[in-house]
Amino acid sequence: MGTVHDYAALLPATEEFVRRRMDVPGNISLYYFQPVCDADKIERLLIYPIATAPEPASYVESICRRRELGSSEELYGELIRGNVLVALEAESYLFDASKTWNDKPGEANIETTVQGPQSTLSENAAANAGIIRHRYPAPGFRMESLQLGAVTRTPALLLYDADKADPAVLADVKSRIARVEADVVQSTGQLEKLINKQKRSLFPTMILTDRPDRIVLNLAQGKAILLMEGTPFSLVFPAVFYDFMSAMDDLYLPHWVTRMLVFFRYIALFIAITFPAIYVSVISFNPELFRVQMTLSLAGSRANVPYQSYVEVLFMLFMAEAMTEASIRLPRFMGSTATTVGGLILGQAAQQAGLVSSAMIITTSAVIISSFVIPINTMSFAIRAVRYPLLLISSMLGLFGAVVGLFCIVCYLASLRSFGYPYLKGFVGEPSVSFGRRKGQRGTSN
Amino acid sequence: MNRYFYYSILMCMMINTIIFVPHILLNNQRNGLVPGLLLSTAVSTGFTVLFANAMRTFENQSLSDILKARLPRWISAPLLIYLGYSWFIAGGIVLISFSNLMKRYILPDMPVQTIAFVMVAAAGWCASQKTRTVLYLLEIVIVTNIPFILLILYKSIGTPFMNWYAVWDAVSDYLWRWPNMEVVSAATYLFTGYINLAIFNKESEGTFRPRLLGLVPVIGLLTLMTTALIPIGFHGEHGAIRYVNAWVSTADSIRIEFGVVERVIYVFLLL
Repeated sequence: MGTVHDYAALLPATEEFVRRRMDVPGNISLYYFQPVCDADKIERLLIYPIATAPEPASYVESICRRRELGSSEELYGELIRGNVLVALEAESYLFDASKTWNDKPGEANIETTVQGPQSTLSENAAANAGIIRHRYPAPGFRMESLQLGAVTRTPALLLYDADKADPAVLADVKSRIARVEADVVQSTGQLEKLINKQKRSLFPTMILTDRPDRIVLNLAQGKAILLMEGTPFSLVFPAVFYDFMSAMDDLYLPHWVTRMLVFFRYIALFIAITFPAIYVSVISFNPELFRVQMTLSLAGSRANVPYQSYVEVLFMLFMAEAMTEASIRLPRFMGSTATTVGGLILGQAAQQAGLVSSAMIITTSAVIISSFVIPINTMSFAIRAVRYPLLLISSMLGLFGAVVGLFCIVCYLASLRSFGYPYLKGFVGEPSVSFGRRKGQRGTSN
Repeated sequence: MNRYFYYSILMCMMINTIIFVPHILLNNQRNGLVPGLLLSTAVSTGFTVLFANAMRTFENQSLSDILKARLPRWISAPLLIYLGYSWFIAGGIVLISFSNLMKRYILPDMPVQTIAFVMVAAAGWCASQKTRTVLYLLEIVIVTNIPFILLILYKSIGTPFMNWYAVWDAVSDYLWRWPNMEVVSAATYLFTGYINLAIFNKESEGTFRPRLLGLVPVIGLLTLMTTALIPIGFHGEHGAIRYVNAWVSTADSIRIEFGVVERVIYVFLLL
């Protein structure tokens, strides 16, 4: 059993590691890692008072917390999180001098509302917990700290309301987090992938959100929240399909307006998933589905398109996906160039060149616009992916294939579970974001 | 046991029109059709109540669990095999007749084997999920389909091509004739949804409301009447017999003039 000084001597003597011996009664030494500590704070609250105080030992005892350290690894773990080791004779005290990064709440850009709160969480977990606690003063509130990733040891906070949350869900979450075997965990989206039970998931079973109002609402509904250091996005679970279709605006608008908006959202979802499939099957298999006039005008607009309809659909959808992807990846001030080039030039010219029909351009834009209607981004990405299998099966089997494919998608959704809760189920009966009380909103389609 | 029980009964009522039930009923319209419908409603309601009550005494157990626990193995094993086969055949009839319909009306160029294979694959995959998943799927499918079914009903009753005199003729002429076995057995098919409780009893969730059982004969009788009488109203007493799929042809005769999809047959078949 060595002393604290022995443990400190075992730590690597790099430039970032500062050892300071102070020539005061009691033989005080300070050890800390420079990059993670706030030098100003150490100066102001440790060095200056210790140097001037008549009894430095009692000052240290009052301002620092006492901590017995068992090994140099433990010491390292404390120091690297921004603690200062104050060694007083053989006794060790810790002083929290961690630097805070980015604790300013951001502006709501990802999930915007018209007339809701306009600020989001910051990138500092402790500050975020403060924001949430400020909005949610209920006595049942609990906060537990966790560490994620073998190398990064990212601090995370698990928040829930002990009076409302389901203990089975909490136990499940904790056991899943304990089983995470990754070196680097940097974002909550990555964490979702890690604690998801499926190896290859398609639909998100947890909400990623940076809106404090959504978090507070979910807390009040008995859900658990995971905040992580370094990202403004928190993870909300369990989440079912309807949660992804609800925007925070639904809470702030009158009842019937909300109902109408949610209904429109489901129609948009239906369009985003099935329109390409329906286009292919109507053109290539069952042109008699619509009125004769409609069929004729569709055929007319396709008169100079040499390819099969599925080639046309794939080409157009790929261009649209590429454009969406490009406008995400490009720096913001170049994004408008991409959309101009894509939207105006490509759409207009492709139709005039006879590569695609004008009906196809309308279909594509309807699909793309509709898929942007879905409020939570992760879900909208999933919807983007799910239309391609449907397109494939309907280009082989027509409308029949489209219906069978849709049936399978609904079946897959119904088979998912989010922490034991059924993902897609009619008449959930659980309070939702869209409507304050119980609601029965139905699923996608057949 | 809960609302899902009623969903499975409804499901059976909904699919009756695409298999042979209308054909059998229309062929027997001179053999006591209407008394047969009434009789089968009464009989099936009795069976439904009996079966539901019997299964309620065994909470959270499927039929196979019950049989295994209560009966010696040499009785339960053949019984289960027999039941499994009859289920298999029942499902097979629906799938095969539906793929034939698909080939005839929607995909004339596609070999019927392909269609049947795709349907078996999809149905098999869905059926191999957990029981609860199947129930959720059932609920979603039913809730989304009912508006369309009501639309078809409304259109078929409201159209001027529906000849109520023919219906009245068919009903009144043979009202006092003793029904034959074919009519009764075909008509009781509509109510057989309660048998699915043998499996779904495993997942009891929520409270069972027996009062809703009173709705079963009412809705069942209405569905039966629709199944048997609307084709007569459209095609006439003699005409309706000549069709193989009387109901599909009936649906094809209905038009939604101002709707997006003009021919109701698509709405009908794709559900």
